[in-house]
Amino acid sequence: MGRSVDPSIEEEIPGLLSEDGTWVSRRLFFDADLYEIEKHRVFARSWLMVGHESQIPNPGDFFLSSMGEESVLVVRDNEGKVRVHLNSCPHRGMPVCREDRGNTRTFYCVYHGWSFGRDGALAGLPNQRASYPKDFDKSNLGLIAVPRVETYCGLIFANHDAGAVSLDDYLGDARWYLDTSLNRRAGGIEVLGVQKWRIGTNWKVPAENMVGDVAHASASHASIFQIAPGDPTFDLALKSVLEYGRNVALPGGHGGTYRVYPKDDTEGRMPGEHVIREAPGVGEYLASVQAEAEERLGEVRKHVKIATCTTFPNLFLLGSNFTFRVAHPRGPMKSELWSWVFVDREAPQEVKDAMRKFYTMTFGPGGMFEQDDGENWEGVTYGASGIEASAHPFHYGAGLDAGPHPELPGRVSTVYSEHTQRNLYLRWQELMLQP
Amino acid sequence: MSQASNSAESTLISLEEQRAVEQFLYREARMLDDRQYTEWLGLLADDCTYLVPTRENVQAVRGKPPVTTEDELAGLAYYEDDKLTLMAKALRLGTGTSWSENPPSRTRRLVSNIEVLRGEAPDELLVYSNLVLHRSRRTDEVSQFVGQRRDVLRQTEKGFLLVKRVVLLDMNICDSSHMGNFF
Ligand code: FES
Ligand SMILES: [Fe+2]
Repeated sequence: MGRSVDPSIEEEIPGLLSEDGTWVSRRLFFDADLYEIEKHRVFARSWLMVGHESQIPNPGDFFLSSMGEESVLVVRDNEGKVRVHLNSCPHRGMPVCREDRGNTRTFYCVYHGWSFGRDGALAGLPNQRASYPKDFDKSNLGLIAVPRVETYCGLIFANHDAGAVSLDDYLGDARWYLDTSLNRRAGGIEVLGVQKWRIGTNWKVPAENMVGDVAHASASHASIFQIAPGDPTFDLALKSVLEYGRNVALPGGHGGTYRVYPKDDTEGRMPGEHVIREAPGVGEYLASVQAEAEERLGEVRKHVKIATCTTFPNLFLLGSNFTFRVAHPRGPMKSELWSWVFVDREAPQEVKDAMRKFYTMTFGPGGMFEQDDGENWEGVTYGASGIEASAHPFHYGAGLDAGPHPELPGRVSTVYSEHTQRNLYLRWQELMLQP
Repeated sequence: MSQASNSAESTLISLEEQRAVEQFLYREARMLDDRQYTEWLGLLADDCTYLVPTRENVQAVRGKPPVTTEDELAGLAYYEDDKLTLMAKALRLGTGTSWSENPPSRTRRLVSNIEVLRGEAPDELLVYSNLVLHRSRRTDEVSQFVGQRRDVLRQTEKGFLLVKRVVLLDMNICDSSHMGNFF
C-alpha cells in the first residue's frame, strides 16, 4: 500500500487551490502521489468513523471496519469498553479476523495460531516453551491498538494520532447539527447495516457532493421528480428548498445543507418526506415524540433538519433518508461506500421497518437516487483525469454571500452556493501542507 | 424461508407444471433483458414482496455445523420492495432521465437449476433457480451478479404471478455503483 512519492509534489500543494478555494486543481481527484500523501496527512490525523455502538452491545461482540485503506477490528471488551485494533497479526501480519461480525472470546490467527483476548492482549502462543525463554515478555506482542477511540451519539470514531484533539473539539459545531438527527430521543439511535459497494471515484467527490451540492438534485435526480408528476407535496418541497435551505460551512472542513423551517411548521417538507410520513405508524410516531425532541434540541434546533452533510473527511449523513455512510478510499480513483440505516432505538418495530424500507428504496446501489449519484461521481473522476483536461482547474465560485447567521453556527448561505465545498478543500489543503 | 424437503410428496410436480414454470422464468428473463418493464410489472402479484439481502462473511465455529445461508444474512438488504416500490423503480427506468440506465446497460439473464416444489398454499409453487445476470455497460464495464432465487409463484387464470422473490446474491461487496437492474 505505501509507496514513495516524488518530493517535488510538496512545492505544488500550495498552488492546487486558489487562495479562497474558488479554483481547485483536478489533480485532487486522480493523482496517485497526492493520494499517497493524503494517507499520512489526512487519514492518519483525522477522527474516522468506524461504526456504531449498537452493532456491538455485548462483551466479545465485534465487527470489521476500515480506517482509510486499512482493515480494523472493532470489539467490545469484558469491561464494556470499545477497542479498535489493526486487523493485522503482530507476528506476520495475517488478518486475525476474517469475518464481518460476530461474538468471540479470542481472535485466533490461522497462520501460526497466536490468539488474542477481547482487549487485544496476546493470550496464546503455541510452542511457547520450545520457542522463547521462560521469562519471555508478551506484553508488547498484542494486537496493534489504534491509540484514540471516542464516541459521539454512539458513533465510534478512532484516530491514529495519539496527540489529536478530543473528538468533541474535532467535531465542534458539527455536533449542534448532528444532534438534530441523532439526539432527538433519550434512548438515542440504533443502526442496521452494512450495504457495501465500490464506486470508481475519488473519496472527495462524494464528500463534496454531500457537503452541500444542492445544485445537482434537479438534474441528477430528475427521474424521481418525473415519476411523481404533479404531486403537490413534491412541488412544495422543491420550492421550499430555496426558501428554507441553508448551506453551512464549519471550522475543520465540516459542513452541510440543512433546512430551517418556520417556527410553526412541524410537518417537514423535505423532498419525499410525505411518503415516509404516510407509512403505517410513522406520522403518529413522529408526532408523539416531537415534544421530547423539542425539549432536547431547544427553540432554534427544533426547526432544523439535515438534508445532507459531511463530517471531515469522509463521513456523511442524510437526515430524511435515515442513513450515515463512509467513503473509504481504495485508490486514487476508487472508493468503497459503507452505508448504515439509523432509527430511534425506542421507536416501534413498525416504524423502524418503514424507515429501513424507505432508505433501501431511495439509497444504496439499488436505490432510486443513489445509482444516479454513482454515475456522476464516476464520470467526474474519469473526466478529471485526462492529461489535457487536468490542466484546467474546477470552478467552485457559486454563491459568494456566505456569512454569520443570528441563530445558526458557522458561515451560512442559501443552497445554491459552493462555499461549503471551498471550506472542505481549504481544510484538506491545510492538512496537506503540514508534513 | 424453509429449506427444500427431499420427501417424494413435496416434489410431486407434473412435467407440464415443470415446463410451465420454466417457460414463465424464461419469458420473465427475456422481458427484463428486452427492457419491457411495464410488461414485467404485469407478472407481479399485488401482494408481491421482493428481497435482495446483503451477504456477510461468517466463520463456522470449530466442532459446530457449517455456516448456513441464513447465518450470512445481515439485515440491511439492497432491495426490500413491494409491488408499489417495484413499480416506482420500473417506471423510473422509462423516464429518460434515469442516468445510470440511460444509455441503458445490456443485460443477459441466464436462469438454470429450476426446481419446482409444492408451495404452502394449494395454488402456490415454491421455485428455486440459479441466476447469472451478465451486464455490459457504457464502453467496457462488465459486471456479473450471480445468485439463487427463491420464488413463490401463484397459479391464476391469467397464468403464474410472482408472489415472493428472495435473491441470494453470492457477492459480499457490490463491485459497481449501480445494481438497479432487477434480479
Ligand atoms: S501471522 Fe499470525 S500467528 Fe503468525
Ligand atoms: Fe444526489
